[in-house]
Amino acid sequence: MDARRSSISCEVDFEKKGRQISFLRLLYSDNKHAYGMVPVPIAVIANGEGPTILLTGGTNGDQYEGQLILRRMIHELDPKSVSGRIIMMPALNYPAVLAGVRISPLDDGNMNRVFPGEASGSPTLAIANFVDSNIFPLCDAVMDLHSGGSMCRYIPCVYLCRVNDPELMAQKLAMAEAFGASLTVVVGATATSASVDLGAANRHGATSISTELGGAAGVSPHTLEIGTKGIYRVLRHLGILQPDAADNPPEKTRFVAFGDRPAGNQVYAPVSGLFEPYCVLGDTVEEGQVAGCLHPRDDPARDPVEACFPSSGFIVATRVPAIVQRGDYLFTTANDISRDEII
Amino acid sequence: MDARRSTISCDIDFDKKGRQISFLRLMYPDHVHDAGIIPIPIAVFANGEGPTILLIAGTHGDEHEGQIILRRLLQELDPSTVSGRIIIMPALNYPAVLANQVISPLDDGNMNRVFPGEADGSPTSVIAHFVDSVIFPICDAAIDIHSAGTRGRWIPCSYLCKSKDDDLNRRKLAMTDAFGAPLTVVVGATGSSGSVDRAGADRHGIATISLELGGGEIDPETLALGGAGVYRVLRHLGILPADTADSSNADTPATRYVAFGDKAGSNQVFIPISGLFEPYCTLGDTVKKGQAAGCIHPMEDVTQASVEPEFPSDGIIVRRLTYAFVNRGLYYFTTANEIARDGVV
Repeated sequence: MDARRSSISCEVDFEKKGRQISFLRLLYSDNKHAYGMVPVPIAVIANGEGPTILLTGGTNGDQYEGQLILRRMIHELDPKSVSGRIIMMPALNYPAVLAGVRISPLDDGNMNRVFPGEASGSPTLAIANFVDSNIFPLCDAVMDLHSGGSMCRYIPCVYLCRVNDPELMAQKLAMAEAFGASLTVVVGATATSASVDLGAANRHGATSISTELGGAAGVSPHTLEIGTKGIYRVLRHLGILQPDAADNPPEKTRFVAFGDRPAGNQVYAPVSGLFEPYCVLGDTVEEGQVAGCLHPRDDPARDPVEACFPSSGFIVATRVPAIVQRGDYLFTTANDISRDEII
Repeated sequence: MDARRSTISCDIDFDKKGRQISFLRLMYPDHVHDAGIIPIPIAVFANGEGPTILLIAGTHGDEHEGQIILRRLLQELDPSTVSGRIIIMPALNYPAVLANQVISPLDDGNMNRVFPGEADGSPTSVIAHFVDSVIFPICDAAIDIHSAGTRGRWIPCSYLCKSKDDDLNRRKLAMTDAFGAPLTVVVGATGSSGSVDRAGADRHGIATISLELGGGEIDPETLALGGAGVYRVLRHLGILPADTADSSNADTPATRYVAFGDKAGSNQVFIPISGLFEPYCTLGDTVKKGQAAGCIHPMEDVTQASVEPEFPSDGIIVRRLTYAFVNRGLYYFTTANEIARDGVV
């Protein structure tokens, strides 16, 4: 048992119509929080009859696109336009969000690795458990909004994680297509159910997808627009919002997947140094092609060391910081797959 | 006098022909460096007759573009093609470069604020003094390569900091034209701030330009643009022959000249509250005074109203921060206004 025990209470009435903006009260007694609580934001917008969706941002604290999109939606959505229920948690791992870092400074917990959590575990576990036991059971659909964080940048894309149930997989695919990112990354069913996405799908049968909307610890108007439009299209697809004739039909998404070989789709830094990339996001590359080179940071008389792509593919993610350690990955590639292969 | 005294020695023979890659030996007897030296990289390529240029990067340690461009140049340059001398310092504030931060971890020294430095001052000040007293006197020109560092981004640009000497300004202008960045920022002849160009090179009558080559995320396009521009300046000065086969373009791209307004802060979007910043604009956008620049969402309380800072004047966005988590007091965007080339000198 983890010594850092905490517990959660919540005053949101999930059955009430209208807009509620509140917070989970995370009780956690450490040197800083002994006489207060950690307020994890939550909003519920409910009206009429229809499905329930949970939208999460800030699962990793240094991924800002989802946090910003949901903070805007909380204020922008008119409850009268809703048929069903939209639950929004724009800062799921709130201690990590406030610290601007990936994992929680309270317990080093990565929110996307701990589901279903523990009711009275450390803060990250307690938040996960509250979501898993109180919110997932209400949900028909779940969308967890990620990005590359401080270390990485993605082509804005949907992550479609495979599940064994073909019917659920068909619903997930329809949701990914409704989101309409230019790219959909299909991830094998090998992953555990410890993530938000697979926790919701595998244990509660919710139709879930994730997104990777950019990264580099920043945002651009472009990535925010891709994310916002995609979420609204998913809400219309589920019938929670009415169809909007003005909305452009989603662009046809390109489906890609990673290879089977472990790390066969990633370029690792063979030595530490200052990284000079030769390629950018979206480039098509060949096996053995030089991805970039690592300049020694101390002695410029030493030759730089080149890093090569271990397989052919299409660059979907790149390293952001120029200073790299041996073992950091510099590029991630994926390969096209046909839509028919997905289910 | 600073208590953190240090000294420098150097085994480079600046008059020797050929390629020398070595380091300045910075003696700094603190807990870590007592039994050794701090080796600050320096390379010299000399051949035939011609002018001398100093190429600097790593003035700020977390600005990586110039460090990469000069490390590559140092690997690539054939000394037999040189007429004159090229001195390369790819990691000028080496302690800051190793620590990947703007200022030196040894003395909190900002290399671009300490010129002309001190012979036996703290490490940053001693490096500046070595450059000012040993290298600048043998130089005709210099380029100091900056970027916005790890947390911002510039439209790749030359910085032409005007001196009070118009002849010198004309030589600087010819260098920025030869560099051919998409943008040249012209800064007025204000007082010395300890910078490499104003407090250092200008005093020696050296034609110096600075560069702001991107920042935030390294990309091959900015590196190529910077590398090609440096080669064009070397050809412009006659240090490399006009027909050098290298990565630079045959034609020099045209540059657009811009300047900042006179009033302090009038070209900056100030962040009035801390929070998550949602930008409405991006680099290169033309904006109007009063236009909303973005929206700051308070971090903690999602019921609290968001705040929209505005652009204080018309202009083109030349610099932005790239991170989302902002604190009160930051300048998120910098704008500038186009000026005619005739108005530069």
